Amino acid sequence: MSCSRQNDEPITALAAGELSPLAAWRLRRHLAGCAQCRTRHEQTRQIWTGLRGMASAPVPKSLQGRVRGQWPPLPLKKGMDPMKRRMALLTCALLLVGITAAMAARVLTYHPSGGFGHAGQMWSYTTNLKGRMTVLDAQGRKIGQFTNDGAFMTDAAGPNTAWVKLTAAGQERVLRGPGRHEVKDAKGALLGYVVFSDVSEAEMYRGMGWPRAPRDFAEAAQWAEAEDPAAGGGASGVTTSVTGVRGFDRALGVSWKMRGYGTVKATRPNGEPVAEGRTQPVTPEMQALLPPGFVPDPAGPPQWTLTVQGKTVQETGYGRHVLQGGDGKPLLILEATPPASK
Amino acid sequence: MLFFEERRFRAKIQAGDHATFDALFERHAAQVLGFLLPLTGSRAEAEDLVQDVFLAAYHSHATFGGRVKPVSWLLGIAVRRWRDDGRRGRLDILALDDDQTAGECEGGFPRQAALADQILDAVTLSQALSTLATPFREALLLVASQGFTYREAAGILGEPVGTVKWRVSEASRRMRGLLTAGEEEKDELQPAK
Repeated sequence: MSCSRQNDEPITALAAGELSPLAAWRLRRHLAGCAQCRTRHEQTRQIWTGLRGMASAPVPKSLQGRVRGQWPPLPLKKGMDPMKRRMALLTCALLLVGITAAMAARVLTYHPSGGFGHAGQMWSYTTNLKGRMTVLDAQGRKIGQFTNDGAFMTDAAGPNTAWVKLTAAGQERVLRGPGRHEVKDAKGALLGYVVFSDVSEAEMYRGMGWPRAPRDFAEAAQWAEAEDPAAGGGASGVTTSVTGVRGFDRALGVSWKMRGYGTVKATRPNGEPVAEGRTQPVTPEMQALLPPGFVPDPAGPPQWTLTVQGKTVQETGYGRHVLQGGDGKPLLILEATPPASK
Repeated sequence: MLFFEERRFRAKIQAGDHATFDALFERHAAQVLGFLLPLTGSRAEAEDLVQDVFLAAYHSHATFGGRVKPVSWLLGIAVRRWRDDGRRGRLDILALDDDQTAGECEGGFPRQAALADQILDAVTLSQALSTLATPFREALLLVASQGFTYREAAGILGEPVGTVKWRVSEASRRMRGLLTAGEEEKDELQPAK
């Protein structure tokens, strides 16, 4: 009797151990009852056992000698050891994540801050204000101003809801909301005020423009006006532009501008020198260094603008000018001399 | 521990470390040779190929994925070298080990009606194997001799699993036909002339 199962695949799969337990059991059950298949299975098993015995062969010494220790040098080591490279990559990835997180945190919590000194006191602040913050001293004179357009801030707020963390006289305080905030020291003495205000975008950006040197005296004067010491701004001393000198002494409430060429010496009535400034006609070398379009003043007697404690006086010419205070007493003596002759 | 040691070993293979390749040769040369001897049918050729395989492996150390077994990787290279070198055309040469080439096989295979209780010797098996076309011999050697699963063998040969399965079965049937007195066998598996 001939078996209908002529396909060798199940028998081979059994020998290869690739049959599922159920299929193997079924096949074995068939083999038990089918002499023909049993013979085929037995023959296959014999062949496979024989083949299994050939799986490896002793490696002759000559072959070992040809291969072992005969590795040629590698042409060029590309990169580093894979393990080290993996570690390095991992470190880089972690660093990148860390830096990104730190930057994100920085950006997400960014609040502009700044500070200035006035009358021996340090004022510093951090705020989320989008607008303008003006700092006034106890007498109501402006001593500082801060304008912010809210860039990079996630919680920028207008003057009505903004906060400012202010440190003045060594004490930190938080000021919130609209109005004029009084700032007092630990003993309750008034240090000044902070005022929040809206500011138009145009004004904000005008104020933020890069500072540039004035192009002529008129502009220099305008520029000086912006920091008029009478309004509490600017610094004491002398500023010279190419064709003019200006100076002030905030303690005395005196300021002056001289448009023209020459030397100005400021002294106190007791002869104590305060400041000295000098201008001279523009030489071709200087002209080359100046911005294009700069129009120097013609040489001639200087014109003065003197401001004494809020009152303005115009004068002309070189010589000695005495600035008097409201009580008629001299405050400052200005002496102007023409530039040295060529 | 073993797992980590093996990982380190594989990483060192990837790095092309000389000592590791010595160890790799130590571990697997016998198996690679055992695979190549019946595949090529020639000891000289098999030994040359073993040398080629390890050198090729060394030069392409960076391509070792680390996920396959090192021996599978080596045998994969062996198969490709063997095929690329165009050596498969020489299959019909019945070259056996010099010391094993005996006259007893002259005039055909020692056919037996039943193989029961008899271990087939390597000479007879090698002779029978040499009559199989290369794809069948490769598949049969990997599965029956080297003990790889169909899937692993398919990976080494770069063939679909189903194809490998069928080739193993057909090669096995053919071997059975050659080594017994069966008349049922056909000759379609002989190497192309």
